[in-house]
Amino acid sequence: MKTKKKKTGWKQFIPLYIMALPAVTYLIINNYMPLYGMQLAFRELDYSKGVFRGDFVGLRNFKFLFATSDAWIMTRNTILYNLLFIVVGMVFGLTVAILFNEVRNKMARKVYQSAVLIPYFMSMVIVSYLAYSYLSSETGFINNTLLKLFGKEAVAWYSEPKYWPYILTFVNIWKGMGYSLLMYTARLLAIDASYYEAATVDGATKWQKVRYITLPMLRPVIIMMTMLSIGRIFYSDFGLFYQIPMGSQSLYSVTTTIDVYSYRALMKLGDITMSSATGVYQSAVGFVLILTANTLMRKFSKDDALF
Amino acid sequence: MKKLISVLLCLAMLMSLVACDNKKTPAPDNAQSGDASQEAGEPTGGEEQSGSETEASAIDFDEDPYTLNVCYAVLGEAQPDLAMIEEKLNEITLKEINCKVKLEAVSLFSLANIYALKASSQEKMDLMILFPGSSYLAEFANNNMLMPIEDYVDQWGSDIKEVLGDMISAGEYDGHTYAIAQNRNLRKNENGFNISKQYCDKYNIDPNSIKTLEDLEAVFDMMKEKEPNVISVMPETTGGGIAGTLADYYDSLGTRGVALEEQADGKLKVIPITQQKSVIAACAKVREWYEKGYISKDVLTDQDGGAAGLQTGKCLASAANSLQPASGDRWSYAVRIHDERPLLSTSDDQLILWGVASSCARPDKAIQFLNLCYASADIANLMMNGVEDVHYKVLENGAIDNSMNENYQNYWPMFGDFFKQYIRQGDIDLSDATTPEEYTEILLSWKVELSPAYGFNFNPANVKTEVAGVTAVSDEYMLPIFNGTVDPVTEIPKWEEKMMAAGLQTVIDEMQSQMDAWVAAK
Repeated sequence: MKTKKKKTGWKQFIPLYIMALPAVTYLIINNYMPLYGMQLAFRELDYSKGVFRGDFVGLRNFKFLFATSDAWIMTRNTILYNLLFIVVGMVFGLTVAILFNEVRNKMARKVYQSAVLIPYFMSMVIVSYLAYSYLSSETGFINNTLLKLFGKEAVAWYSEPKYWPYILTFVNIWKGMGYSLLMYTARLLAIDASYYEAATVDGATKWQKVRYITLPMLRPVIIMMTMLSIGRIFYSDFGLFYQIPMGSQSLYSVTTTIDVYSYRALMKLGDITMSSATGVYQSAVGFVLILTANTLMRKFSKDDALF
Repeated sequence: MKKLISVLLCLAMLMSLVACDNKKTPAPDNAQSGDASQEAGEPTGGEEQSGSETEASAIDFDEDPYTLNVCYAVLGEAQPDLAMIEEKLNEITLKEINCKVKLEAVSLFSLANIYALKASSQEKMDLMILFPGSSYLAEFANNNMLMPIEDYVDQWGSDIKEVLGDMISAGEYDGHTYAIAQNRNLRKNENGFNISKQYCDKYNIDPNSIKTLEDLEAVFDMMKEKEPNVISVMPETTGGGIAGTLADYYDSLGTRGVALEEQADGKLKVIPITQQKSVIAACAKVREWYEKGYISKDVLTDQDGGAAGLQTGKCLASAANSLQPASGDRWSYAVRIHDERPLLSTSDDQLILWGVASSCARPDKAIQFLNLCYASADIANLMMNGVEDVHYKVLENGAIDNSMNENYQNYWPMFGDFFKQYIRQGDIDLSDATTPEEYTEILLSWKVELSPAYGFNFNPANVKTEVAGVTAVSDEYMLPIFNGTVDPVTEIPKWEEKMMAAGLQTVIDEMQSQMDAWVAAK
């Protein structure tokens, strides 16, 4: 596009621009206009002047995010959990998608797919009670049935932080797998069957077909989904971290993420300048991260970069 | 293409600028109305300066009646008959203070958010309920959500002052009056245990024979043998701590992580809560109970509180801080373990506060209305109980039956002087009294001890970040320790250490200096 002559370049696209107009208008209203509110993060909250007319206070509203010893814990939790979810989620999603692709019975495939997708539509509150029925110390399934069966001591799940990274990862994968499965399956179905036929003729094993045909074909989807997740690495799934631990204080050290912390700290007071500060901080870091990821991607494999 | 994107970006920014201009346009209006209010307020202010308190200021009946927007709290459901209440209310208010009242129900659970939203969208708001007031007063006074109202109270609030007495200082903050406390049936409830009627009757337990913790433990042991599946004791509400019931009364000064200690020479000292002796002893006791199995292993995640547990038979006792003069209710008997009277701190009287929004154009009308609520039995009854023969019936003994109030019901004493209202027969039935007079007498004879720091209100503005940090740490450590799920011997020092790291000492120093100044001024 850069090589095109400037003068004649844009005119031929006018109909396309007009077609894009409604979507662009929507984007402006929904995504760009709220940017104006970002200034709240740098203002003092003074209702008598009106929220947008408080005095500028620099970075004071951001202080609470970093002032406590929790700052490190919540940043660490947010990033590490998200990295874990990206990697583990991708591995599981891919594996299951490829396995499903091998299921030849159409009916069976539909049933399996729906079964895996159902948790995705469940509210986290419901999931939290499902988890509770497994993990509750006195009435839970695991303590009363599984551990008893093996003659093991009951575990107070909601008081032991060490189990929670596994539990949360499990719940996240269980809940989110159906969705990534859909994305991968859509791409898998588009792969031309002739590749596989040719490979079979050449005597390739199942594993070789996956390794040399399926995975390379899925590469763009994998990269896109990973890039999108990286952009949201500073946002945590609030429902997961807030609902699933059932508010157990003993677990705060492994379940507090930035969203959960600001919810706890600010919901009670309704201090909108401080909550804007959290939002600005998260977006700014997300912005930098996605730019960095994209730049790196462009360096190593130009075709796969998002922009 | 790239150029176009940049053009679009510029456009987007322009649009947002335009949007911001649009948002600004209401401002002059607002400023004008503000001016108008000042003008309107000026004559009254002038009168006040002439110091004519004896000559009660007259209400101007010639002007157009001002409409007050009053936000009060509900549990979230709609109040279908609100229009009927408003109509009756306006009849009285037009006659008495020449203003109209528009009632607006606000969900208790999202109070702060709704107010923030209203204030930022410049929606009209005059009187606002703060419930629990102790969590909002300082915050809302500091960010100018509320306006100082002492001048108006002096001028128009004679009945407020008469009804509230010393309770008026509950709404004072930083040298100004920012809110009016709501008087209630009792200023503070007692700590103790509610014991299940069902199990007492079944196993012949005499609740009156339980006087000490040892007696209580004997009952717990007995029950553990007979009904091993029943939890011996639960905290009254989810998120409550059993140790809070066991510890002696102390003044927490409305701030997490600290407690007040009155020293031998009468000096007031702010200490970390982790050094409060009776709290430490109570935590050790609760840990012992937890290890003996009196407390459920799921206590921290249980979605039922003890109050619900008593009704379903899930637990034998509930560790409560809501004991009233009555010896029990439908499901339980009250067991008292404290000899001393409940200690009343400022934050207890701040449970329900009424504040005037800083955007209110006629604060004088707002105060006149609050004053009228306290002066008039009609208004107090109307707003609390609804319309006679529609929402309640007056019984022969002078109490009311309010069982038909599903279209207008209030759970909390939010409006008017409690002692000017009808007593609900349901309340009498639950108490030891048989007549409304007896019931009132019991309430009036209920005595509380005023904390030596009563009337002190901490201004956290300088140490906001530290307070938020200490609160976050306390949220993490307090409940497990207070319910015995962790060992207090190792965890209490850890709690203190982490609070110190979050700036507890700064908070204590700031609070101590403010308190010293407050004591000196008193």
